Amino acid sequence: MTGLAALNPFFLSLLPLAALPVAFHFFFRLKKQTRPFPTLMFFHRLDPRLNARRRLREWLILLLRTLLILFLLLALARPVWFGHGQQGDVAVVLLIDNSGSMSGASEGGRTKLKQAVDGARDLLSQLRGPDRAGIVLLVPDPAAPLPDGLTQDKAALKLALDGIAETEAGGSAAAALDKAIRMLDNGAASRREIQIFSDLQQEKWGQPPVSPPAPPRGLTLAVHRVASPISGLPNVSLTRLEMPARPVVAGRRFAVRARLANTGMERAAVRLNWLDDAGNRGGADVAVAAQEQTNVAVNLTAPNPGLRWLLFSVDGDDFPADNRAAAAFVGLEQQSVLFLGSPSDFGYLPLALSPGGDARLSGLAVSFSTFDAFASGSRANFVVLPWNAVLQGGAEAAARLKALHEFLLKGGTALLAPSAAGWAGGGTKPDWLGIAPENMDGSSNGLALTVLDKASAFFDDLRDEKGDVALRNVKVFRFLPLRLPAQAAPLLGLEDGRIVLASEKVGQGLVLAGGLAFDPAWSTLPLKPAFVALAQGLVLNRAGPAANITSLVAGEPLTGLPGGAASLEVQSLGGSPLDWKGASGQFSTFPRVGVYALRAGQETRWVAVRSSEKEGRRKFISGDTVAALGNLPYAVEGFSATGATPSDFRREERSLDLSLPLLLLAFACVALEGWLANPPPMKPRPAAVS
Amino acid sequence: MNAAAYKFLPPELAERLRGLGLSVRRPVEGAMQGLHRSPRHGSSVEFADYREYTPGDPPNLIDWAIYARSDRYVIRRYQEETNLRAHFLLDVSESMSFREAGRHSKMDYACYLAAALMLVLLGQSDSAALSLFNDEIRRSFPPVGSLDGLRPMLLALEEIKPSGRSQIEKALHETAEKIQRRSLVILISDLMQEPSGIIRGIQHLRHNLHEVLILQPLDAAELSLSFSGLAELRELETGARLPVEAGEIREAYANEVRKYLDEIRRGCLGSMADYHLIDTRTPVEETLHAKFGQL
Repeated sequence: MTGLAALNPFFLSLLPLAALPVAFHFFFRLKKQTRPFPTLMFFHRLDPRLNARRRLREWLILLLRTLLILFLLLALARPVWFGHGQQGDVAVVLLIDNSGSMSGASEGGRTKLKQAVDGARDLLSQLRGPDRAGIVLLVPDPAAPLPDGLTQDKAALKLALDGIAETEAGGSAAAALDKAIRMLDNGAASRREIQIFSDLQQEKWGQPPVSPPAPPRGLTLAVHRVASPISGLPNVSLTRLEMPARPVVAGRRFAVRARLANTGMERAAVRLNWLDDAGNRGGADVAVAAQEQTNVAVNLTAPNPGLRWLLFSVDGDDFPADNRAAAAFVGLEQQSVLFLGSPSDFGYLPLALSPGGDARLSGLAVSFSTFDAFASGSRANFVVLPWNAVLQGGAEAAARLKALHEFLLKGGTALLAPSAAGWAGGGTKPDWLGIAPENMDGSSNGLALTVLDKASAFFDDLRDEKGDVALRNVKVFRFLPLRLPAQAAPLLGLEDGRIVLASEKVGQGLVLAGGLAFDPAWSTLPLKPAFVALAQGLVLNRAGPAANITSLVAGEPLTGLPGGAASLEVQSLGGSPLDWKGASGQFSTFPRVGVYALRAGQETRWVAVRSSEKEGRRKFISGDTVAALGNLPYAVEGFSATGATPSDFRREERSLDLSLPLLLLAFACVALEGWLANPPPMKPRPAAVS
Repeated sequence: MNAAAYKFLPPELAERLRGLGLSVRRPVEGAMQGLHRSPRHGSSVEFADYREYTPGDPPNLIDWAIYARSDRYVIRRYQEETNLRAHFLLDVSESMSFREAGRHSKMDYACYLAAALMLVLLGQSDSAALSLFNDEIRRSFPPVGSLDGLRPMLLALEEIKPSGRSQIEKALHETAEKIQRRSLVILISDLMQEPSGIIRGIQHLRHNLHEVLILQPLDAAELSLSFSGLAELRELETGARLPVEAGEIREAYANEVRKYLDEIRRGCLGSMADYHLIDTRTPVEETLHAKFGQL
């Protein structure tokens, strides 16, 4: 391992050229024209040793010119002393970029990650017995167990390398470096190395660190760049999977919108496939223009209530690691809506909620009952009743209103609206209700109905592509203006500013107070298609418990882990398999696409993960400057299956390159030669004093 | 004499030498009556002094006009005038073959000078002798006073091939010993030796009461380095080599040459020798008129 070697031995064969100055000297000496001169007396009078000095200087110049060529050739030959840095043990951290971009093809059809792992394995085989090594992954992978910290157990390290697989996630170079440096800080090795294997995708390695890490003493950092062949094929990534905004009712069709982006320079023809938790599959051919995005709507059905998941993937493009996305949702059971009154009180509303009346089309089952029956114990999550029912006085009415209050306090939802059969007017509202109707008003020409809270989830189904809520010219002829307390939220109003639909929380429940009867005599709203979506949205928006589902991009840190419990269990429900169990704080992130259940104690949480579309971007650092490494001392070297291996590079790194000292010597020769060859004019002798 | 036959004395040069003359400051001893003062008194037109008549003196030398005024016999003495004998010492060492910026090599220029001056001397009834030397006197020609006698010397000038190392001091000493009568010694040389030795030789000549005239023809490329960059210089007389970087040494060299010429000039001045530095770029006749029109 020790000794002197030349990296460019060709230049050593040119060493005889160093004799050129001598050859030229004698050649030109032979050819040099001699000038006859009467006497050399004056020169000897000037300096008796002039000739000797001149000859000495000539030989010195000759020597310097010879040395100059010699040093230059030696410098070009790049001699290195491999004995440098051999003393003491070495601590090495192998930082392997296992992010999605490394799933791309490299030489010989292998993935870049496979090549990187092979390089790391090669480097690992070079380590000596007392040397210690550790592995850090750019994307923490719970499915790839790694030795804890630095170890001398090379077999365990090789086994860990075998377990490293491609991910679909982005990663943080800064975090990985920080982890590697901390790992080295814990050791007491005389020499510390970080060996990075990466394709140096610009997205991850091109940004300078926010807080550059302080390099430990004696750190050597080498970056082994895995080449990324240029591909002319288009790359389509699945950038978004959009589920319906409101809960999905089991058995009812719902639309899922997938957004596909083509980052290539050619039109892409791909196939979008999907798979649900019941094993149902489907697919659609999609064409995406170059540098464009397209949305694909897929209509699906949740067969059963409960947690459901979907897995979408794109086939037929060049890069696989940005092609998948998973979604999870809770399918609701059929929802029942209880109307407290006669059907004539509610106009078109029952029909809008359940067109067939049996929940087959909308997932909503409507039924009619009396307020008394409701007070005596009817079960429903959503009740609709006319204003007259809550504005009544007397002991019987008080009992009914008390039952309604308790229903709301427990989380029920009540919709109050004027009876389509007629408005009696008057009455007193209960104390727990803040919203109060005012006297009925009207307009023969009709007043335009406007949305006052466009962000409200009640209107999600009414939004267009841009997210605007469109009611499409609804005219109101009769209405009860509502007077709102501070805690109430206006939802719909008239063009003159008066409010006709508002919400108010009562306990855990919600009161939706309307000023319009659902009858064409009051407004044109029941005649509009938007009425069905609005009516069902009012019911379903409050349906079912809030599902504890989080959507993530692979590699993103999961916030709000159940930290109260000591242990965490992660299990994949669909997509890439993962079965992890450990301390709650040790779980890092999800490196691959899938739907996962996180259980900590009694709490369960679900996570749907999609691939990172950034991994498909084909910008890689081609130079020797890696911004993410900040001020750390590093060197970038490419390696391939046929070229120099990382161990060669490491060996070279640990050597002492003598090129620079030789170049400096050459420059010194040039300077000295210049000084000798251009002496200042000889000063005349001072005149003798006589 | 057919002047056209001589390389160093072409007719046009000989023609332009008219009006030139050479004279000496101190008396010289000649064999014949001439233009130059002799250390002896005799018959001439140049008055010297008076002395008392002593018996035995020729009575025709008595100045009767003085006798008439002072009743004394006084003899009037006249300075004897004689001809000049000039010995030319010509340096034929190899350094004299150098030519770069000049019209001629130093050797050719020296030959032109020697030939011209010999003709001038013969023209004023003086005599001229010639000695060629490098490390010793290689060839000598006795004094001649006629143009016919000059011919062998002129032919000898044409035969000169500069070679060998010069020993100027040695040549001067030999000449000083060899010449018996007071003469004019004309040294024509680039004087590429240490000035002290040359001055010693000159002083020897002066000690023997000879007049000394020194002509130093130099190429301009010797006075300051005319080339640039690196060159290997080969000394002509010794073959020694020296690589020099002209830019590095140019100023110091020029300064060293100046100091050397100053030494020569001071030495000649101290020895009462006439010294003339001659640039070989200057035409020979111009040099002769400039230098010897005033002598």
